[in-house]
Amino acid sequence: MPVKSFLAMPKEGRFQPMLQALAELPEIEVVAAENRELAVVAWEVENEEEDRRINEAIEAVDDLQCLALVFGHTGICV
Amino acid sequence: MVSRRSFLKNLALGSAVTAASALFPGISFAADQAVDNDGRLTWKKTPCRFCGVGCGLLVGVSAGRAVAVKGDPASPVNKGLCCVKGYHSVQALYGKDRLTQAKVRRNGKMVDVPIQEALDLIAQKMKETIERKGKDGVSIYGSGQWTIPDGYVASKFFKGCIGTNNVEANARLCMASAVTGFLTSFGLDEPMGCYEDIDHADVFVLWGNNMAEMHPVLFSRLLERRQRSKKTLIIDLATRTTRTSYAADKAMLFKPQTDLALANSIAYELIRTGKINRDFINKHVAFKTGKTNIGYGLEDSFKFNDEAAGSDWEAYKTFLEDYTPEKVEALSGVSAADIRYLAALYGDTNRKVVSFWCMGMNQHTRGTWINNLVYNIHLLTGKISRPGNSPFSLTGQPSACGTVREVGTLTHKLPKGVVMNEEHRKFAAEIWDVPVENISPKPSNHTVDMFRALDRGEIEFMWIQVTNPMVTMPKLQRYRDGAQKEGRFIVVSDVYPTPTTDIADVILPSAMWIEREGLYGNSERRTQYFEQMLQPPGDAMSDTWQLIEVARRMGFQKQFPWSYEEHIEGIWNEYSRFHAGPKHGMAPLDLLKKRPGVMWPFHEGKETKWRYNAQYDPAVKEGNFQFYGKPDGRAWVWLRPYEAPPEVPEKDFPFWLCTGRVLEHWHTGSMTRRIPLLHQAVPKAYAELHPDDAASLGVRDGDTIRLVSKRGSIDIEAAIDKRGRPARGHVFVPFFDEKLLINELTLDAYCPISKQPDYKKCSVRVERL
Repeated sequence: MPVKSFLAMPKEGRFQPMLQALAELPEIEVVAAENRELAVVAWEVENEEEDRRINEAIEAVDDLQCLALVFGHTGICV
Repeated sequence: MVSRRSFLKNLALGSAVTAASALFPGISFAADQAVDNDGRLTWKKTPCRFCGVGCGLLVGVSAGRAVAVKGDPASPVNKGLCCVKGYHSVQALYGKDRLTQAKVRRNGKMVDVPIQEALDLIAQKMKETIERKGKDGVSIYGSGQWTIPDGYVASKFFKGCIGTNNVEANARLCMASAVTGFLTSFGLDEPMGCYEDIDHADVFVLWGNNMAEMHPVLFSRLLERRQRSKKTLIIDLATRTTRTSYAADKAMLFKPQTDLALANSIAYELIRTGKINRDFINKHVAFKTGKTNIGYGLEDSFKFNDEAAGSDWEAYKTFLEDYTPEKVEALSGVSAADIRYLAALYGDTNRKVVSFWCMGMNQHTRGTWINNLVYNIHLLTGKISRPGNSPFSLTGQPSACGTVREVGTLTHKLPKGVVMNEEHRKFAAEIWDVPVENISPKPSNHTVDMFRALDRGEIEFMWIQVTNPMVTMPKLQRYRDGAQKEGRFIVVSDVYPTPTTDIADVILPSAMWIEREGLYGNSERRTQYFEQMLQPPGDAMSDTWQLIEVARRMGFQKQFPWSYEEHIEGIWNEYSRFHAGPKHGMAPLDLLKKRPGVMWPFHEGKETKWRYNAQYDPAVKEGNFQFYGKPDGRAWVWLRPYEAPPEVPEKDFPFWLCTGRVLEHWHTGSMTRRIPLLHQAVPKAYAELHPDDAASLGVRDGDTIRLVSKRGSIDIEAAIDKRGRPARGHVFVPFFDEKLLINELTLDAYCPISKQPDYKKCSVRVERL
């Protein structure tokens, strides 16, 4: 049950297109900052394969400059 | 109880917000409180309820009440900003005199009844009227504030099921000339560009458009563009000095109606100086003439149909010889040098130009023509359908485009096409599941004619939803008296008492905005969804559901089969069938629920930002540009002359009267006057006078004056150099105040092509009291 959150920063002048592209990915939640060109992105999925697929989809967003992992939980308890 | 999963996800979101705050002190998140709604605010997205810009809002809901508003930073329209109306919008839900019960007139008095009883009565009256007068004895008059489902259901019920084309909307009063302008020049309605044009343009020419007050969020985007790109220019062309003029780089005052001559003069000068795009003209433009001396629609019997005839480049050049800058200076009051300056801006190949307009050009007895003439300028220069080069007609209402223009709630329209076209009728009948014979092939009454027919008794039943014609109709007394004649039956669906509910036989309390589920469509072809966030008060019911309830009572269960929970989805899916394809495809509802609006044409998963340009528009099949609304794939340049308005100042009525709006109030003020802060900001209407005119009349600021036209008079406070300054010999009065009905004075003349009345020009006398 992977749960992750990231900070997403756009390429210059591409904040809105980045938000739109991220919003097209149904599994993720996007919370846009009001006064900075930055968004918080989070998701929770059933397994690592889905997690990998979402990672790939996000990395394919052209307008994304940088994605910084803040929180990661794999669901495996020790 | 919070599950472990949601706890972890909330923790993940909270951690990211905390990390962002550490990196960027002061950063704020629009939806940061949406992480947990357990006893706290829940933020939900919606388009604004007011103007046609279509700003994205986030409404904070707590304990079943809307308690906060902020701009949605994810919305590409307003990028997190709102105007004063948007920020206070939710307060309009909670006015003390909100209509919560249905009312029926009995023995001259309105009495409360259960809403089901009122709906029974409406169905019964409609049946009786149809039996007595025929199908065209009933009518519906809606609004650009109708949601898309409201308008769709109204059109299907009246045109498809009952079989009358007596379907009109108040957008006839504000946008009809824009529609006929688009149709005559391009064959398809609505702008080719989008708001993103603002981010690319170098010059903005505002034609009779006080954007600073009427479209303040968009105007702030113009100002932002000028701040970022120093060569940006804002040019204000107007008949009155406004806040827009003060913010502009250059403001020019022209005499009423002479915008027609100005546009032709700019075209003349472009050709004379060779600042035209000859290649674009050769490939993509055709020349046309229409009828002239076309009248003003003042007579009940008035009929007009334009006829396009072919013309050519040489004839066009000859036609324009009447519009040299010197000749037009004498007519318009704009100097020849300024006309040449405008032509130089439009013709400069190193500058991208956007023209904006709204009511100034549309509420005009030659509204279609002036729309055509501004398109001509963009077509001559090839400055069209490219980022930053756009002629852009703005709308005034939240869904004038989405509902009235796209659904087609006008007498001649269908959701796709027009009633006059047999194929279009067949297509509609198939989707609506009605016999094609039900749909009448003849348009019946446009708005002014509909109220005239009500006055004459040809229409006896009228259902009015989301609009306030007893404030907005020109030459108001005739139509107010007509609506109250013996034998008329008026149903009004609204959220507050208004002068229109005063003349009603039945009042239905409506669910407002986010008290129901719906969709709006804004000026840039953006469709926006909003969910039901609140319970409507008392018996209040959405206009969509009111119509469905009555339609079912009249035997049309088959055409309106949806459950309450699924009716918006059902309506959207059915309506979308009309527009399928690359020219007008609509986004699926699931996507609209997720995004802050989606622009149509939406085709194969993508929005179309610039139509007719092969680089952006998948519907273009040949060449770089294709104006596929016309059979020949060309846009039409029209040879439209200057013609004078029907009423001009004269000895007994020496002033021009222009009416309009103010920043703080929405249209007739029925909602914004219930918002204490907005009401107190501008509590009553006023008459702006030029200070020299005031001095000659011996009138000081705040004095009460009497305005008199051939049709009526009002006593009103004079405003000298307050918000705006009219030209000498002009008076301006806003129309939001139901206690000072300026439309008692206005003239019901209209553009013979669009049938849109002109609220900007009639003659009045000013009397000192």
